[in-house]
Amino acid sequence: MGIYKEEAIVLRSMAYGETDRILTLFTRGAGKVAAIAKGVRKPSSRLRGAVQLFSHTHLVLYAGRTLDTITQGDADETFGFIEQDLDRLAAASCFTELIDRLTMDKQPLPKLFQLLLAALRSLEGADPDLLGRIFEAKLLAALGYQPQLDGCVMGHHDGWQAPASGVVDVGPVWFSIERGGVLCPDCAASCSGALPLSPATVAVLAYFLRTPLDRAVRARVEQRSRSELASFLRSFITYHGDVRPRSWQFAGACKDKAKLATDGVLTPPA
Amino acid sequence: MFLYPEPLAALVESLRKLPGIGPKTAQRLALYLLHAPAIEAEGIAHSILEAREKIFLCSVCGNFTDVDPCVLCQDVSRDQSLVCVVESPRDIIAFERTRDFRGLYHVLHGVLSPIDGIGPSDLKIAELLQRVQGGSVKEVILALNPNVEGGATSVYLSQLLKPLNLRVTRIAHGLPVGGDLEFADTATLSRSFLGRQEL
Ligand SMILES: [Zn+2]
Ligand SMILES: [Zn+2]
Repeated sequence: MGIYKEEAIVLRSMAYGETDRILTLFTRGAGKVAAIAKGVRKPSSRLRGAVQLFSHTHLVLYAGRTLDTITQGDADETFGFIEQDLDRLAAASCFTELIDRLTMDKQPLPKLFQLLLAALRSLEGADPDLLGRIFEAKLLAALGYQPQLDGCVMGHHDGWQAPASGVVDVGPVWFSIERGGVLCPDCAASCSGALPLSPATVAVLAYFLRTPLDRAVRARVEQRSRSELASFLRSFITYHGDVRPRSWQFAGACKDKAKLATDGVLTPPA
Repeated sequence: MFLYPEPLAALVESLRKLPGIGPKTAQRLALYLLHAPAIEAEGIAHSILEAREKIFLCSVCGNFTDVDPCVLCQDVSRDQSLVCVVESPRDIIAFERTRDFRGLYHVLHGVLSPIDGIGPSDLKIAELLQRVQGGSVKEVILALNPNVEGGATSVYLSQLLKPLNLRVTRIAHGLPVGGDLEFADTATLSRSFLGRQEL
């Protein structure tokens, strides 16, 4: 491959050796790429600004045996607002960690690149929590694990459809994480581990899956559906992707930010 | 397949755990230690053990020390009202080389990093908050690395510190001394505008 140019987003950045960094890049054309940025921890490095974590950047790389080497770079967008807010840092970290852990090296996934870019761009104005759910739902779809929400996942069962939201007293919609879709009442009764979701939550998920991200972030979602969706998507990702990103814990810790702050401030000296 | 004898393989494995050391370098170092005079290898082993035994974290600032509080914290000629917050003990060495800063330090031992699973409770943040409430500290200078994690940690700390009636400042981020403007990258240039000063 020799020298090549790529548009990339920096997923991970680890200090290496005295002055280098090893980066995990997600590129538009070549998928995930491991690359070294040499001398980039020196203040005099001209490459430094182009390879910051989460940056959307244009790079020139030289293909190597295990690691490609970044020779030139120019950042398009650095998303500086991320460091102003821990909730946004947590959300951006969840996006990049999920992509890092659910994709293979040099597997081109241009749709996923576009999704990540759109999510980072929306993060400044959007509710980071909701954006996280939209990202996770669309990520599953982009990786070929789109949850099946129309009709029983076990087959054609009398044209059964998941009840529309807003219908009173219909009870829960049953979902099989293992099968990746909703179940009709008959199948739910015979399937172990079926998960009950409220019809409203299923409707929100369907809306997220079919609506472009920049429009989906404007949806108003009730707290109950938010938390249901959060635990549902996490179980789904953990089951099908076999990952449990560390950023999820951090996001949880951010929720206790007030508590952490007061723990620190109010604990009397021992 | 030829394998190293057990004790040598174990040494290679141990050396590989060191930061920045890959399998090839680990083998080279291990073989060097076997070739070197016994006294040299023993000296290295002894230094490691002695450092581990005698060096601990200063109970005030978190820097590595062999006396408590450390010599910097004990130095009464230093300005006790200024505390400079850094990521690692190495940063103290860098600041001390400048001889421009005559206050005290506080070492966080890391920065917030969701991907590495490092949250606020993994850093010496509670210790910092306790320390600055003693009354003698008037200003906290945040001197973390100018990257996303360092920035996020600074913002988080300033949110915790400002309600405590302290002056909270952050070191300037901008152009390297001796660098030409036209070669500066966009991120650095925009930061240097944000950090501009009255002349
Ligand atoms: Zn069925
Ligand atoms: Zn000390």
